[in-house]
Amino acid sequence: MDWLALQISLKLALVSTLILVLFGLPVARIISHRQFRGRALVESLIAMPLVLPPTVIGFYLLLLFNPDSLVGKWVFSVTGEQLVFRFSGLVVGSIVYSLPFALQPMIRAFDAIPTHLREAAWCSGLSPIRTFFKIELILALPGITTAAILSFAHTLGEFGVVLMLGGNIPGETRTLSIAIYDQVQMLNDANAHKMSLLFVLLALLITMCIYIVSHQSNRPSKIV
Amino acid sequence: MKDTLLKCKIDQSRPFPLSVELNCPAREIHAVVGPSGSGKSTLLRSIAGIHRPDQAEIKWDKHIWQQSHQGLFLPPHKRLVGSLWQQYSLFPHLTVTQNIAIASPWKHHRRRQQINQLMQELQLTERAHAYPQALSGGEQQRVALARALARRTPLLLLDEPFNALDRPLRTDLLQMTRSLCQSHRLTVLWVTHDIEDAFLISDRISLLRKGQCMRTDSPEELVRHPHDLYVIKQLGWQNYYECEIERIDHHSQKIFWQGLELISHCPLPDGYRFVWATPASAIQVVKSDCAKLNTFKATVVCSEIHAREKLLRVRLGESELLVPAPWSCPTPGEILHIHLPPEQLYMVVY
Repeated sequence: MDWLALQISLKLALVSTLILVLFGLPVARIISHRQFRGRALVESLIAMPLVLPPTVIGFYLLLLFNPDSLVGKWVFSVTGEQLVFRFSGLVVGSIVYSLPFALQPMIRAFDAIPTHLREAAWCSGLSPIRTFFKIELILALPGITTAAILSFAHTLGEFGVVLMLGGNIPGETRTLSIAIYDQVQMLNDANAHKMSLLFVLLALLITMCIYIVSHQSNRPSKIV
Repeated sequence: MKDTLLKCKIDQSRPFPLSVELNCPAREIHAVVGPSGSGKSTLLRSIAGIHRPDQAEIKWDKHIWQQSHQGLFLPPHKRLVGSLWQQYSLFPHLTVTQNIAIASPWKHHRRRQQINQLMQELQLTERAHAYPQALSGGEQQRVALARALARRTPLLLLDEPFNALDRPLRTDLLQMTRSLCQSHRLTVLWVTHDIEDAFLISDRISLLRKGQCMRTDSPEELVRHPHDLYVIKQLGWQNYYECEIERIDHHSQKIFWQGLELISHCPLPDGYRFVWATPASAIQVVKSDCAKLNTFKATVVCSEIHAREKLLRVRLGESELLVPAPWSCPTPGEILHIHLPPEQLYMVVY
């Protein structure tokens, strides 16, 4: 069992999920409630990682973050570090890769809150900011939780993007799924088995969490 | 006349034309009545600040809520207005108490006191900890009303309140609303498509049609001087017919209708083409030897129920009239004598 790889995987999933939820929340709220030109384009861009092969995403991110490219140079000049073959690069890659899994449940959650409920809050003397925190955020909570669980799970099992962008550096970019691949390549099936079984159990736990959240949210959020 | 508190002038061309001027004195219960699509809800939404018309001047007392030519627009949460909307719009994640408390301007002890009092007034005490989805329609409306009152604003807006409820419950709630508004000393502007409801609790009624205010008057004045065919239709009168007029003197005229001659003692409005109109309740079924003016023979066609009242449809000449059903309950084909009182034969411009 490669404990270091498991640690990297969990750390990557946690950091990416936190960033995705924190920054995705206001973005989802804006996309949901504002009518603007090009909304379809923005939503398609967000959904793109769903249909693109992870290797393609990884390949283009690799080109983009290459120390010789414009973006790579700029990142290096700002942070003094490069993104390729680094944990920070993996975080950026995971965010791109898991973007639809985080944003779509949150957008749907905000969409499900009827406009008349927000108007009733304003007419009850709540400012738009208080309306967001006291009404919208709480009603969207099941959607936000689903977004977090899905992003976490999706990042945990990521393979293509990680391999293209991060390679296979122990303690830096070798995640659990890469470690499994390594073990299989080395014909070490017993080890691969242990780690894969861990994934199966994690997957079961996560899907159960999603169902529990959605069952609970079906109860109080019937909007009257 | 009490001082005008709410002044509202709206002029918009999009999304549909609406051009209304409305003034309400303090503590008036003012109904806006019109068919759906007449713009009455938009009027209310504009006053609440959740709709922004192209051109509007909305003032409450000395506060300007919207003045388009100066670009002034006060957002809804800063306007001193409580409102109850057609969808109950209760917050599903909050209990009855929390739903009401969210609108309260007070804190701590004072807030608790205010909410307890409101819940008592609206008979919600037993449901204090229930969630909205566990409440009946009537309870949900009462919670929404309590929330509107909890804001402690001097103006209350009600958009088709209690419409989803059956009539007896609606009548109860409307009367409860009136007494609450009186005890809380509120000015109320409310919207309905049901003129019977409007008559029940309003001091004045504005009739809206296709985004235009046709008339604003007290219920008594509307019935006494309908003036306009639209008002007649809104009042639910079914006895109205086109006719020829010959003026007798300042107060009365001869009506020529279907070969009959009727006398009306009602004022004649300005116009060229006229309709005579009378509510069914004004027509009297009389004995055959009655010598009063405007007494005619009519044949019973059938009996009908209108607005919970039993009426007879009778044939007079080539037209049909609705008259109150006498105790004897005549059968179709029977001959009746009916009298149309001249002081209730209203003249209306067509």
